[in-house]
Amino acid sequence: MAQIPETMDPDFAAQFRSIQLHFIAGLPQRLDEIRSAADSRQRYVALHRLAGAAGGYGFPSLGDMARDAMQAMDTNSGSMLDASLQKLALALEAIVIADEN
Amino acid sequence: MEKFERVMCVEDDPDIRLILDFSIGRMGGFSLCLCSGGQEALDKVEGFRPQLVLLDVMMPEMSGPQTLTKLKELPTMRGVPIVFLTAKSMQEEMEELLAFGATGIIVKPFDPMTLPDNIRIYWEHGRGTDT
Repeated sequence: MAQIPETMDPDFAAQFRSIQLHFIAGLPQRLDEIRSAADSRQRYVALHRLAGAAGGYGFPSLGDMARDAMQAMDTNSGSMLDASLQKLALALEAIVIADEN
Repeated sequence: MEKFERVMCVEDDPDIRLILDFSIGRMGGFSLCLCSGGQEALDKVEGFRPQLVLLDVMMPEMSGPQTLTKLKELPTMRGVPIVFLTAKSMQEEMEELLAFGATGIIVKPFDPMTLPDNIRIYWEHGRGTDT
C-alpha cells in the first residue's frame, strides 16, 4: 500500500485514503484500457493518464513504469514496450491484490 | 488587498480531478471549479471568474494550448495566470508550452500536499501580467 504522508492532518489522511481506494479500484480498468487499446494513439493516451495520476495517489513507481512504456512507444521499441507493459501489469495487479488483503 | 480564493481546473481524467478537488479544494480551502474539458471551461469562466486556471495539456477535442488561446481572448481573463498541468517534462516541450503564454507549468504527478502553496506562488507572481 502506498504511504500517506505522516505530516498530513488525520482528517485529511482519512479522506486521502478514501480517494486512494477509489483509484485502486479503477486500476484493473486502466490496465484493460492499455492492453485492449484499439491503436497506439489510444494506448499512449491511456499510459499518459496513468503516468499523470499514479504519483499523486502515492504510487510514483507505477507512474514511472507508465512513462517507461510511453518512452518505448516514442522510440518505436517493440521489445522494450512489451517488457514495460508486462512490468506495469504485474505492479498494477500487485497493488490491487495487496489492497484486497 | 485582493484575496486569492477561486481556482478553475481543467482536466479530462476523473482520477486527477478527484485529487485536485482534495488538494486544492479541501486541503487548500479554495473555491474550485472543476471542468472536464476546454469547452466546459469556456462555458463556465464568465460565471466563476477564476483568479487562476490550472489547465491540462493533453485533452481530447480541445487541447490545453487551444483552450488557453480561447481563454486569453476573453476580457475577463485579462491578467489571470494560466498554469499548464502536464505529465511530460522534457525541456523542449516546456519551452513550447510557455510560448503559448502560460504563466508556468506544473508537472504531473504533483504532490497534493504542496500543490496549494505552488499555485499561490504562481498567482502572486503571475496575476495582473499578460504573457
